[in-house]
Amino acid sequence: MRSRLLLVAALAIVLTACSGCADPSPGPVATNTSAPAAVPEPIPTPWVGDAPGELSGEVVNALLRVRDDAPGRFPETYAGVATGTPASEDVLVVYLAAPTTQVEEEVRAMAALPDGKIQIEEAYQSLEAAAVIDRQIAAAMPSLLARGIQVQTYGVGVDGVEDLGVTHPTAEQVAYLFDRFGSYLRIDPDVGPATLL
Amino acid sequence: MARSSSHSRCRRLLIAGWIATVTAATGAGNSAGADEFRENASDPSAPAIAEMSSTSPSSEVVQGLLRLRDEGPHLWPDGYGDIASGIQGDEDVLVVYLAESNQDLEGQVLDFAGVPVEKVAFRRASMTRVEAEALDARFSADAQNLIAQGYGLISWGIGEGVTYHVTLDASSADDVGGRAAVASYLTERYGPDLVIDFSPAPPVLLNDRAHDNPQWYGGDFLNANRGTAARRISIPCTSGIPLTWAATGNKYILTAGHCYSLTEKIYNGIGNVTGGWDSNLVGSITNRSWNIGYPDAELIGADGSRAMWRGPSAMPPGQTAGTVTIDTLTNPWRGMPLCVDGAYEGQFCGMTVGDPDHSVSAGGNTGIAHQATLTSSNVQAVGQGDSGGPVYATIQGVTYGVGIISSVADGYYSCTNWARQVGGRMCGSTVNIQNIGPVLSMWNLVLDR
Repeated sequence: MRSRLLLVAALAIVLTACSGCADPSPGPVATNTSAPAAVPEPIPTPWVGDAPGELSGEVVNALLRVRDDAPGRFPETYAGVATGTPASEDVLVVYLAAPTTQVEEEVRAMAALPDGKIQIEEAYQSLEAAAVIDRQIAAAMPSLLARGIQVQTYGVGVDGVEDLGVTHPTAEQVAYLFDRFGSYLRIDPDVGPATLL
Repeated sequence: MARSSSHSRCRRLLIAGWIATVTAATGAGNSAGADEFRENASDPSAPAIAEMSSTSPSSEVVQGLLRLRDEGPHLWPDGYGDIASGIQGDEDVLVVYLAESNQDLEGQVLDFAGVPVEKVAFRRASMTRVEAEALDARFSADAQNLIAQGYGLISWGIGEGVTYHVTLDASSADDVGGRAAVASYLTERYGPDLVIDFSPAPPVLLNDRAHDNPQWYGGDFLNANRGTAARRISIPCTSGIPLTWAATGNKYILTAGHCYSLTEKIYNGIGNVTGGWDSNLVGSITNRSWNIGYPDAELIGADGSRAMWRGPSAMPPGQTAGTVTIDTLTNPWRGMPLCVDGAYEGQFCGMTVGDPDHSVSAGGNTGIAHQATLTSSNVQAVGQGDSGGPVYATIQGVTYGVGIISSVADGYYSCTNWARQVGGRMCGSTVNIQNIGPVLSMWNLVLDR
């Protein structure tokens, strides 16, 4: 995952550095008058991986409770759930977008976990808001393909960011995606089609 | 669990065979990418459109068949017998067995089936479906007593055309007075319409991934037989999670939708390995979901077990590493530790959920919906033929079934297992699985308990 992030970061740097750059080569060149828009800073991927400890039944039950109930109770805030932090496997992580203190407290009460077993993380937007973008991308798949943009995977991340796996997009294509679907995108530029088993 | 008795196993096979007979059409074409359609997303009882060829039943015959299968016994309990598809030289015929034959009843059946009269053949049944099921219940209840008396029952059950078949171990008949005496005793007790056969005793079961029986375990080798006897083509996949249609109690085994064609017969056996082709019938595909925006899922009409094989794909004959049993179903979440259990690569734990709910492109389908991506460092975690295999987590003694294996993102490592089979298999470490929740809601299913 780290290598993917670096790739995205590298791509973003290249795109940022080159947007608006003049072509240094001499002589007549094809000019692109519609230079790609500035690409937002890459959004880091939420942590996932091996951690010390073992997942407990109480954390699992809390996760299932929050995952079932929170989207309905806090539609403008709830983004997603995960388990594990670098410090411990046995932690429920709840992603909330701009939560008020009251919402945070209610989510903690819903989880009914000791303080050390629950962690609230800031999400970029709610699941509900991200799902709108996700549906837009689903509907746009044929037109994206017609533009040569090969989206292989897409879906809402736990932090409310739309994850896109794209096969080697050009700088223009990346800029187009941000322009069309907003800044809460996380693009992995090195994804090919999966192989059916 | 029915597996402890070879007798009950064979009986189940016979019934499964009957189900296959009445629902089956011939499959055609490789499902992976060849056809994109989703059938009957809301109702597992009535699959809609099947792939057709000139030697296959048409969709109207299949639909009529399934309609009658589900409703016939209730609508005409005193007359309805059985249904099948195909007669000699023409597969596109709905065969209806009626215990009482009159034009009024035939007219009602034709209207209800919605199949043109020229595509329907009526046959006389010796008993109604209701009577056959009552007989089956009575015979099954007596079976253990009969066995205890020395009657070597191998199989029993309802056959096509509403006949009742009983097969006994030929050698055991001599111990209870000979074949004539056995036949006389059974027909006197269960009626004159019994079809009684004597055959050699069945082989001892091995009970492993390649030689299973009802209730079918998760992680079994699945196979469909295509091609010809001269050039056999096997389509390998893996049995998944047992499900029940909540409305009727009909039982299904979940596997991947890209694996098989609607109505195709599915067998338990290893692709391209001697004995695997055309082996143990599991059932037929009753429902299939394989289209953009929908899950990669299909249902085999068969009785599955909540138990899944542990351990590697291949074990010495007759040996297994035991099983683990699904307690409940849930969708995966980010960070969830999971095990996968494909028949070809075997059980592997040590996967972690990354993206829990994404759409994935594979096999020409540009939006397989509601899939989770699992990562591991094991490039032999899954490989070709593992599709449909159960994915689960055991956390503090509770086993959560979360989905089935669908595809692999990095499928460019040569598999070390079964390397010679299926044309040189490819494996990988980053697995896309089909989440169970959307499959349950799509077809109104629950875990079969």
